[in-house]
Amino acid sequence: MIVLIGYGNPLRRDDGAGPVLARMVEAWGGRDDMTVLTPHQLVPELAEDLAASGVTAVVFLDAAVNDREGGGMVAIRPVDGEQASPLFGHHFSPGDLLQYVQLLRGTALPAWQITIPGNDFGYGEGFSRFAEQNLAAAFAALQTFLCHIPRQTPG
Amino acid sequence: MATMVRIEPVTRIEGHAKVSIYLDDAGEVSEARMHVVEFRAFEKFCVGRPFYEMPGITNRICGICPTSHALASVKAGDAIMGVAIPPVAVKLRRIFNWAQYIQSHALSFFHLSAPDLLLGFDHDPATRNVMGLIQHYPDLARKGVRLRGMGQEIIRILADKSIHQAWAVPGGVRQPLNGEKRDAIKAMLPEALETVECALALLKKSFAGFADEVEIYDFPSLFAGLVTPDGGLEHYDGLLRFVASDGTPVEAGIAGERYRDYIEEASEDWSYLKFPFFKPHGPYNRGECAGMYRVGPLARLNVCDFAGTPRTDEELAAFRRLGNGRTVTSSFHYHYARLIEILFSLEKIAQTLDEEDILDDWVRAEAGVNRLKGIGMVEAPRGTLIHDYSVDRNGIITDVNLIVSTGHNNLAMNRTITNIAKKYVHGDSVKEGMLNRVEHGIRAYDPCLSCSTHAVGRMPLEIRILSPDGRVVKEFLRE
Repeated sequence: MIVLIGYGNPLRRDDGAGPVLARMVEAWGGRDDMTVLTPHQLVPELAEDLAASGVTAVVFLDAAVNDREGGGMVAIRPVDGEQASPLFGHHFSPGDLLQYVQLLRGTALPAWQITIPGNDFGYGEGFSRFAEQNLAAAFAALQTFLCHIPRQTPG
Repeated sequence: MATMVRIEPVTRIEGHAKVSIYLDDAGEVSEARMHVVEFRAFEKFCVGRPFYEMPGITNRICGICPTSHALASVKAGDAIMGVAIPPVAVKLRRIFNWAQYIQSHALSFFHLSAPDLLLGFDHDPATRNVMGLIQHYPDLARKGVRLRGMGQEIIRILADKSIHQAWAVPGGVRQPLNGEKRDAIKAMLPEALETVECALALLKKSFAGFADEVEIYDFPSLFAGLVTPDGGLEHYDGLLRFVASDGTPVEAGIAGERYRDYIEEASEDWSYLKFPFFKPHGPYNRGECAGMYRVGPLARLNVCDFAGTPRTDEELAAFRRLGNGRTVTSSFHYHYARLIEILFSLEKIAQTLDEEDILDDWVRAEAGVNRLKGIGMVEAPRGTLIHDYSVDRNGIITDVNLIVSTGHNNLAMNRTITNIAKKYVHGDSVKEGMLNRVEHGIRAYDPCLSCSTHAVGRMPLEIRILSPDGRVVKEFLRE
C-alpha cells in the first residue's frame, strides 16, 4: 500500500496545492493500492498510519516558495529521516515524520517528496497562475512516477 | 561589571522566547527574565469585524489551542446575543473542550516534558526528546502519540476539522451528534484511559529523582481558575475563584463580567507578553511579585473542592498529599496535574456521552445583537482565557481585550526561572543540563507564546519595509 499525503493550508493560496494534487491523484484512480490523506499539516499521529502493516511507501505532496533548487520546476526527491530535527516545534517535516516511522517500524519506509513551486502564499483561496501551471505539471509527473513504483509485498 | 547569560531560543515550548539571566559583580544571579519576542496584534486588527467572525479569526491565534479561543469567542458572542444556548449544545461544547484537554495535555506531557522527566535532565541532549523517549519507552511513547491523536480525532468527529473548526458558533453549535459519531468517540476511551494510567504510574515513580526541582519550583502565590457553583473542577463555565497558597479562598466565585475588578495587566519594556496581576493585591511590583497568581492545571486542582468523577477524585487526593493536604505550591507538579486533567476529561466525556439527550438535534439559538458587550471566559488547557468584546448596535467590534492563559502565568514563570538560575547558574560557565533546567522551568507551565502576544503595547518598535528583493524601502523607529 502506498500512502499519498498531500498537506497544506487551503486558505493560504498556493499552499493548498498539496491537498488538491492528492485529490486529483485519488480521482485518477491509477493505482488500486493507494491511500490518500490530506491533512492541514504533518503531525506525529500520522506515524501510526505509516507504520501500519501493509504500508510499503509514502509520497509527500507539498507546495514550496518558488523552489529555486529545482529552477522553479516540480521536483521529485527521495526523503528520509536522517535530516530530521529532534526538536518538536511548529514545523514537522517529512523527515521528522519518517524518523518516528522508522522507530515504530524498525526499518526505514521508502519515501519521496513532490514539491509544487508557488509564488503566492498570501491569505485567500485559489492558486496563482504560476502554481496552477506547476500543479498540472506535478500531476502528470506524479502519474508517471506512481506507475513506476513496483507493487511490493509488505515487509 | 554585571554580565548576562542568554539562552536562546528556548526549545520544546510552543512559540519563541529568550531568557536573559543577569549576573551581579560577584557572578551570582540577580534576576532572570523571559522575553517574549513575538508580536501578533489581534486586539487591534479585530476592530471593525462583525462579532460572529471572531471565532474564526481568534481560532487562528494558535494551532495548539484553537478550540479554547473558539469557545471563549462564541461565549462572548452568546452574551452579545443575550441567549442561553440549548442544553445539549452546552454538553457538546464541553466534550469539544475536554477533547482539546486530551490532545493539548498529551502533547505537553509526551512530546515536550516527558523527555526531561523520564530520561532525566542530564541525558544526552541529542536524544533528550520524543525520539529518545520512543527508544527507551517505546510502548509509552507510541501510546502518547496515539492519545494526542485521539483528542484531535474527537474534535474532528464533532466539528469536521481537528484544527480551526467552524462548528462552535455564537448561539450554540452547527450540527448535533449522531449515534455513529457518539459510538466512535466512546470506542476510543478505554485505550486512552489505559494510556493515562500508565503515564501516571511512571510519572509518580519519577518524583523521587526530582526532589531538588520540586523544592526550587515551590513558592507562594495565589491560584486562580473556574469552579462550578458548588466548587467542583470546571473547564467550560462557572465562576472565577482565587485562593491563597494554603487554599484559603480569597475570592470564592467571581462572575466573568467582573474580571476587570480583579485582574489588571502591566507591561514591561523587555517583553511583548503582558503581566496580569491580582488587582486587590496591587499595585504592580514585579520585583516583589505583588498580586502574582498562577493558572492552569496546578491552579485548577488547587482552587476546586472536588473533581466529581471517581478516578480523578482519587488522584486529586493523592495530588494534595504532595502539598499541605489542600494545595500544592510547587510548579513542578503541573505535569502531574496535567495527567489528572486528562483523566478527568476522559471520565467526563464518557459520562456525558451516556446522557439521554446527547443526540438531540436542538443545538442552536438564534438572535441578533442584544447587548453591546460580551465576555467569554473558559479554562483553556494552559489556564483561564478571557475574550472581552465591545460592539456597536450592528454587532461590529469596537474594542477587544484578550487575556490568555500563558499571560496570567508570566510573573510566576519569571519567578520560577529566577529561582532555578540562582541555584544552577554561577558566573558565565553553564553546563548543558543546567541550561535545560531553566528551560524546563518555563516548560512546566506549558506556555503558549503564540497566543500570548496579541496586544499593541508600549514596546519600542523597529519596523522595516522591504522590497521583494530584500532592499529596505522605509524604516520606522519608535523608542
